[in-house]
Parts: sequence; C-alpha cells; structure tokens
Amino acid sequence: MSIFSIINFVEQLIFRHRQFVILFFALMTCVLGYQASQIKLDAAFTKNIPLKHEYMQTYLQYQQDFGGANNVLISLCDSSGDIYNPAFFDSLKKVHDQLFFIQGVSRSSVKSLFSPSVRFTQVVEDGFAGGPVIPANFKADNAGLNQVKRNVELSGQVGRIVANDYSCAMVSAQLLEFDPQTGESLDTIKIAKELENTIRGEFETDSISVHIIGFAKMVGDVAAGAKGVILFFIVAIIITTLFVYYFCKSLKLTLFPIACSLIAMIWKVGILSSLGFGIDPMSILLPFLIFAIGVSHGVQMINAVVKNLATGSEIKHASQQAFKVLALPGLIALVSDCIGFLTILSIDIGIIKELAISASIGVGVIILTNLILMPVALSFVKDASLSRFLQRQQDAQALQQQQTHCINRGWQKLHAICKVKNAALITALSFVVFVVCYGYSNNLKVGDLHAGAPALHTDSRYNQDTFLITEKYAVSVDILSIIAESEPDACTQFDTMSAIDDFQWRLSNVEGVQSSVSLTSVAKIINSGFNEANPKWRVLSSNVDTLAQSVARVPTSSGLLNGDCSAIPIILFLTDHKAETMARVIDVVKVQKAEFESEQLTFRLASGPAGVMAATNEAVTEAQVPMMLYVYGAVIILCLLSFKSIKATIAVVLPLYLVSIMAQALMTYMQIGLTVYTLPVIALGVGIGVDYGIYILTTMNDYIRRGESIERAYIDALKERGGAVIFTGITLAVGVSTWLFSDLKFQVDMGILLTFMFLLNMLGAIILLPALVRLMWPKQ
Amino acid sequence: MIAAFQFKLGLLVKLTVLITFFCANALFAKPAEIQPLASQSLLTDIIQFNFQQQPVFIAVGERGHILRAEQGKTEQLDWQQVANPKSDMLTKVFSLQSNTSLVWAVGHNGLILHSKDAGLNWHVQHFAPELDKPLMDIFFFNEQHGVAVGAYGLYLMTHDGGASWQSQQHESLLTRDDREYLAEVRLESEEDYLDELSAILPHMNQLAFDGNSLWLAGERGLVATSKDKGQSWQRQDIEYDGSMFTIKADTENAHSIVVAGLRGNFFRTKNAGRIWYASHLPEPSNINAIKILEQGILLFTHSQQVWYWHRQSKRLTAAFKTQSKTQLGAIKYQDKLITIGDQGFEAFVFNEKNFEQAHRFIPSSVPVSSMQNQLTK
Repeated sequence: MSIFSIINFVEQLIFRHRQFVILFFALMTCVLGYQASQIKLDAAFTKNIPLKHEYMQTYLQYQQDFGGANNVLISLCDSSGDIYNPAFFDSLKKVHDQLFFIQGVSRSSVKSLFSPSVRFTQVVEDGFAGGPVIPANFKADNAGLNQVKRNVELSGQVGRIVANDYSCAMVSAQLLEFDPQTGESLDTIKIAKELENTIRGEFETDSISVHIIGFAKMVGDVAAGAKGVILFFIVAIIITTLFVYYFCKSLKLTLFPIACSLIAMIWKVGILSSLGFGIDPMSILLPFLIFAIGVSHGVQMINAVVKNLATGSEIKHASQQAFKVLALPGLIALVSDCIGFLTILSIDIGIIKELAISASIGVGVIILTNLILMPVALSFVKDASLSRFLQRQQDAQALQQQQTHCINRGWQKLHAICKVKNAALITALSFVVFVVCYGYSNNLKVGDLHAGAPALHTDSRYNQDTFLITEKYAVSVDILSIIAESEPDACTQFDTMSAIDDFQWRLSNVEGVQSSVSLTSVAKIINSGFNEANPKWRVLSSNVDTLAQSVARVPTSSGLLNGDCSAIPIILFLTDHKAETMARVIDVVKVQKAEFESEQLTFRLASGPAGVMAATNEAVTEAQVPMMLYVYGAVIILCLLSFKSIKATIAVVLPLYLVSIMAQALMTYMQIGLTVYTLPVIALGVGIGVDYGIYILTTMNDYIRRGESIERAYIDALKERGGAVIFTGITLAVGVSTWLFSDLKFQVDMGILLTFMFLLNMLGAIILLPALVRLMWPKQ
Repeated sequence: MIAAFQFKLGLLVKLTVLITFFCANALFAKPAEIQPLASQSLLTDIIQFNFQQQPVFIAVGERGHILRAEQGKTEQLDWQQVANPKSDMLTKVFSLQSNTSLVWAVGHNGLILHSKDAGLNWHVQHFAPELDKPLMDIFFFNEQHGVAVGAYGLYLMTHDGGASWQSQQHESLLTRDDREYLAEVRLESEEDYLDELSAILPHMNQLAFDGNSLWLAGERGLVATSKDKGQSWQRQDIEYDGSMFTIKADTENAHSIVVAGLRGNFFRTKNAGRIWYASHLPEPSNINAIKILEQGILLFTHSQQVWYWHRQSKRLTAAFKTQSKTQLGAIKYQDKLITIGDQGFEAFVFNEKNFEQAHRFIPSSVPVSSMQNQLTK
C-alpha cells in the first residue's frame, strides 16, 4: 500500500503549503506564458519525411545533383488560350525575374522560356542550327513571337515548360534547404507568402491567371488554413464552458477546470517553445486535445468535491478528500494517455515525433494543473460563497427530485446489462460488430487516396492549380526517380546505358506510369539529331564515341546525370500518388531490377516527390503494428498494475480494441487513408479512451470490495462517475468535432476519427465493460 | 559538310577497331519484350497485304516491336505484338506481293528478319552487330532475289531467299566529285581505295520499285536507279544535296516517282527522272514518309503536321495534325487512315474529296525547276 502512503504524503505536502503552491503556479504561468508568445511556426520539409528510410538516404545523397522534391512550379495561363501575345511574354519575363530574386530559391534552377539554358536545335543542310528559344534581341512583336513559337516547337519543351495546347507557360525552380544569408533552415512559410504576394498578387490579371504549386506553397496554404483553428478553438472553449456550467451549476466552480486547462495549454506551448520546438499545422491541433483532456479531468475533480461538500464537509477537507480519491485513477489515466502519445515516437518521421513529444508534455502538465493546482485552488474558495450554491443545489435537488430520480432510474435501467443473458447478448453483438469491422478494416489503404495535396480539400485553390497543371502539361507532379549507380563515365558504356534503357521501358509499361525520361531516352533523340533528325536513328549506339557524342550534349543541370556520370536517374511520371500506384511501381522495381543489374550497375530507390511519399507510406505501414503493440502493451501493463487482475484488464482493453477496429473500418468506409496524420489518431484514441474504463472499473472495484454485487456496484459506479464519464466523452468530442469545419482536409479527417473514438470508447466503457465483467465473474 | 565527312571517316576507323570488341556482346542477343505500350512507342513502318485473301497489317518499330493485326469486324484494328528474337530497332517491313505469306523486316545492327507465315513467326536471316550499321530498307524481286540497303554504304544482296547475303559496294552511287577523288586514290593504292570507298559511301534510306527499275533514295541528295535488279546503279541529279529519306512510285504513270527528305523538300518526276520538279513544304520540317493516294500524296513530317499534295492542282494543303511529334507513314483501313509515329498508332478520317475545294488550299511555292537528267556513268 505504499502508493497510498505516497499519495497521503503528497496530499499533506501540498495542502500544508497551499499559498506556496499557488504562488509557484502563478509564477510559472507568467514565465511560460511569455515563452509561449515567442513560439514560431515551423514547417521544414525534412520534418515531414522519414529521414532514416532507405529511399530517403538515396534522396538525400543525390539531392545536390538532381534536385530534391522541394520545388516550385508557377504556371501562367492566358485566358485567350494562346500565350503568344506581348502582354503574356512581358508577365512571364517578370515572373521569371521575380522568382529568381526570392530569397531561398536556388537561382541556377530557375527555368522558363526565358532561361538561356532552354534551347532549340534544328537540323539544316550543313549540320545543326540552334540557340536559346528566346533570342537575346527578342522583341515581343509579331515577328519575334512567331520566331519564338517556332523555336518552342523545335526545343522539345512543349508539355514541359509550355502547355500542350500553348495556353500556359511555366516558371519552375528548386528551393534550397537553408537560407543562403542566415544559414538557418529555410522559412517555407515566408517563401509561400512571397509567392502569393509578389507573384500571384502582382501578376494575376483578368487575362492572365497564375497557378502556383510545390511543397512550399502547399505548406503556406496549409498554414493559412491552420489559422482558422483559432476560431474553432474559441468556439470549443465556449461550448465546453457551457457544458461545464450545465454540469456543475455554479459559475464559480465552472471557472476552475476551464482556467486550469487553459493554464495547462499555456504551459505546454511555453515548454515546447523553450525546448526550441515550433508549431506546425498538425501540432496546432494538440492544444484542443490538451484543453479537452484537462477539462474532463477537472470535472471529475469538481464532481468529487461537490459530492464531498454535499455530505457536509468544509471546502478544504472536501478538496483534500477529492485529491486523495482521484489522485490514483487520475494519474493512471493521464500516464496512460502520456504513454499512448509516447508510443507514437516509434514512427521515424519528424513531424509525428514532435507531435508525440508535445502531446506527452501537454498531458504531463495536466497532471500538475488538474490534479494538484485545481484541488489546492478549490480549497481557497470561501465556504460562505458556496453555501448559496449548495443551498440552491439542495433546493434544486428537491425540485428536481423527479428529474434526478429519472436520471437515476435511467442508470437503474442500465443494470439490466449486468444480467448474464443480456451481458452475453451484448458481448455476442459486439463480437459480430468486431468481425464485420475487422473484415472491412483489412481494406484500409495506406497513404493518400485522393489526387492533389491530401492536406487540403479538393476544391482548394492549391489543388485546383495542381489539377490544372497536371492537365495542361505532359509531366505530372507525382515523380518517382530510380537512381542507376555505376562507375564514372558510365554513360559512355553501351551495356550500362542499354540496361538502364531496357529497365526504363519495363517500368514505363507498369500501370500507373504516365511517362518517363532518363539520360538514355534523351541520348537517343540526340543521336537521331546527329543523323539529320531521322527518327529511325533513335537508338543508343554501341560505339563509345558515338554514344559519348550524344551524351555530351546533355548538361548536368538537366538533372539527368551527375558530374562524373556515375549516377543516372530514371524519372517516372506517375498518374497519381495513391499508395497502391506507388507500391505497384516500387514492387516491380524491387522484383525486376536484378534482371538489369550487373557488377557495374545497381538501381536504387528512390527520389522525387513520389519517392518521398512512398518512403513515408512504407514508414507508416511499418510503424502501424509496433505502434499498436506498444500502446496496447502500455495500457495493459497500467491496468494490470492498478487492478492486479487479468480479468479486469481484459474488461477494459477489449472494448478499446473493438473501437480501434471500428475506427479503422470507418476510415475504410470514408476513404481516409492511413497517413502521418491519421496514424497517431489511433494511438491518441486508445490512450485517451482508456480513461473511461479506468474510472468506471476503479469505482466498481471499490464497491465490489465493499461486498456489493456486480449489478449494485455497477449502478453505484454509474451514479458516482457515469455523469462525469458521459460529460468527459462529450467534452472531448465537442473539442475535436469543431475541426470538421477546418479548411484543411487532414484536420477534418482527424476530427472525424477522434470524435468517433471518444464517443464510442465512452459507450464501450458504459455498456460493454460491465457486460464483460458480468461474464467473467459470473458468481458475484 | 566536310566536317561531317571527316567525322564519318574517323568513326569508321574506330569502328573497325571496335568490331572484334563487340562481337560476343550478350546484350545483342536479347529478344524483344512483349509490352502493352509497344503500340504507343515509336513505330517506323507499316504495311498492308493480303494473306489467303484476308488483309493483314504489320507495323514495326523501336526495341524490335512487331505488331500485327488482321481484318476484323470491329471498327478498330486489334494490334497484337508478336515475338521477335531480337530487340534492335526495326526500320522497315516488306511483303513480297499483294497476296503472300512471305514478309521481311530490317533493322539496326544489320538485322534481317523473315517470316514465312505472314508475320506470325519470325527468324533471323542476317545479323551483324559488329558492323554497327543499320539496314534501312529491303526489297525482293521474287522469292529468291532480294536487296537490302542501309547506312554507311551497307548493301546486301541474296539469290536464295535470304539464306545467304552478299555485301556489295556501288561506287556509282557517289557524286562525280567523289568518284574523281577515288580514282586518284586508286592510282596510288588499291587498298586505300577500298578503305576510302567504304568510308565515303552514303546512307541509303529507301527503295522503290516502279515495275521496271528499282529506285534508291539516300544521304546528301542521293537518288539512283537500277535497271538490272540492283546489280548496278545510276545516280540521278536532283540538284539538291540535302538527304532524301523516302521514295515512292506514284500511280500517275509507270514512270512517276516521288522522293522527299530534309527540311520539307520533295521532288517529282513523270518520266523516270528525265525532268524533276522541286517543291517544298511551307515549314522546314523533314519529310519522313510518303503515302500515295488516289488523287494525291500525303507527306508525313518530323512535326505534328501532315501535308497533302493534290496531283491535279499541284497544291499543298495542311491535312491534319497528329499527337506524334514525328510521323512515319500510314495505311488505309476502312474509311480511316492509321498513322504511325513516335506515339504509336493514331486514326484519322481523311477524305481526299474535301481537299479539292480551292478555299482549303494554302498557296505554296511550286518552283518547277526543269533540268536535263544527267545520267551518271
């Protein structure tokens, strides 16, 4: 019973130094409040990807040579459907220059019709003729535009930097990882703002539309969407406050859980800021959760205090008693929340790890604010000021005898659950639901199931721009690169080049690959160029000099070869970035690459945006099972420790597992993929959902120990805790359901799943848990 | 031109050095892969002939792709890729007669493929990767006697249906200047002469047969005729030194020939080359292939634009645009034209009658350059 002596000791300690406790909390709130106000928005690209994944090693190794996945594509479209007019070329030039001067853009990578590196070549009677597509003496008059038009067709850039139907033209660039001036990691959101203000804002007119896509722009739009969260937050606070007021009928008492939870939030953000973490569009959701968890635990505390007051004890004693009763179950519940969050650390993706850390800190802080600060603060309330409340409540009780009686009768009715026959029925029914949902949840897809940026809604500007660019140009934005590694000067060796070419052709034929390009496909066209552009010469010559001649015309800036030609990427443009599309292509690469590899040649997965996504999907898939094992392992151990009974543990964990499976079935049904955003939700749902079961079963346990029957204990537990449990479930659900109105699709998805899990876990604890208890202790 | 010439000379010297090096290269032995996108990859030639009175269609292309279709009841041809023991790019396919089972195809690395069952099964008749020279066309006068031509002067002849092929070199395909230069070299050393001859011989791109003579078009304005089934050749002068990629016998009369090539230039004769008429497209795109129609000629170019030349009015019209950015020919199937190019097959409704009306015509310069046919000896 040492744990109880510890609790007693802590109780003595804090209640003897009440002023000191309050002072300490006030001081800390000031300090951390200041820190919280300093927090930065942070959305670095590398945070979103599993850096240790095999593909990401390839990605990072060749990022310098072939550019990363962090690019910006700006498409200017003329409403007349034809770009060849002076106004359009004027804007295109200005956009090119503007992008060039944005801080953080890799200047050598800026590419458009106006780049000197964009050239055309044509065959004339005495050899080649060529030059930049837009000549130095270009004038945007009829003759000049006609010449450019002809050059564009010769340049082979149609579909790449000029739209297939000549209605749009592209300016593209890579972004640097670090700001070249400050040396700090690039402020993606600032760049997104600059793109929006200095490019879209400046150059979009009635006749020219500007479409911007790329990771930075997406993050910017997501960050802008995330600002809407503040409104939802205020709404959630108001609704929750009304709930609390309805629950405890005293404005004064209502303020305690709300204030304590707000303090917990401030501490959490302050601590994160002090530790050097920023806030990103995903972790911005956490304060909701922390607030909701804080309020729900706070209400348990209020509930206990009021119950003690009702028996006539004075406020300080009532608070002390409430602390004593709630310290252990509260601690267990919060620690299991905390562990639920920490298990997410097993996923090797920065953004998720940060989520795990910041959520754990948040819950840790709640232990301090709601289990210590709140009872101590409550004990300062003057008995006199509460006497009116208590009086009123007694009056109300007398008045609402009927109503209360009704509620109690409502609880009473539930005791039917504890009849063996009903318990068996409920359990059987749950089992059927489990089997159905389990079967359904097997179809749960990993990754993003929809086209466009998954974080944003389909009809968002960003996604509409993505669809437009994918439609107008021959290249998709879903690029998967496979890097062929060989010895230096591999591109002049026929065997190597031919193997790369054959492998590229094999991959091009996989369903989901829209088109492909590599050094070999370009070298073939150049070879035909050396033969008067006769397409019957589009082959790789087995002659070293002829091959070298074709390859020599491809600059390293093309991203098709590295400096010494020892690495040659095969670039595949995929039809979409659905997980199954990428997995299909990657499986073919894994299975068939050996056929083309040799001692001099190996193929490595993967780079490009789709390579990053594939790695993320694989990391998520790999993390799924261990994460579930850890989170359930933690919950089971905590239950075993607190109940010292395997049966009791089963009674708590089985309903949780049922709800987890149901949530997966819901994801399948609603076409929500398992992503970096939704994966942590399952862990959060389990970690927080276990609270209900623990509160109910602890109380039942007490009554059973006192010799009550299971039925009696259940009804008494419901009378004592039922209201608070239902209240908690609803508070949490309300807090997260405001996300449903978010501009960000992933927040909507997370909101749906968390609301679902919170409500169903509550029902599970009230209905399935006692039924299981009944079945496992049939004689009591 | 001199630079190009020197380059080719140097290349050939290196070639001979490398011959032994590449002889046993395993990669050359790879068969063509059967892949769904073969019908959307670069196709280089397409033919139609009858086999047992049923129309058969064959197209060939890069990576050794051979696609075959038979007359079906459906509106679209059902192209099936058939097996090919080699994966080298094929450049031309040939059927012996309008009703036959004998088909040949040629390609890079001196590849000659033959099928005795109208293109279902193919076997290799000739393959010489060590030469690193592509064959560009093949023609058989009968079941036994055939000629295959290609780049860097590669000229092969068979008298046994392709069982064996003999290499030949025809000095008469060269210009007068080149022949005079060679005569000087020969005075000094016969060996040098032979080296120089094989280095200087031009690319031969296409053959055409007008019923009497075999015609040949090739590099640097090469147009030549042979009246003795390919044994000897007489060069014709079209007064243009850009390369000619395609040559066809026109249906206007027995002596009508059309030859076309670099930068949209094409030339016609009605009298077996005594007088040539030069024309060119409004755009300087190479003409890769010609399709003879009832009232005119379709010109397939190294761009997306297909041109139509009307025989009677002698006017050029922009006919239609393809998705392919380079086109290589067409056949007629029912009321449609099936074209081939770098994006594979495409189908177009093309009715010559619509192109008779004058308002559709784009005026094009049709300079009629009359010149005396200079028969070279």
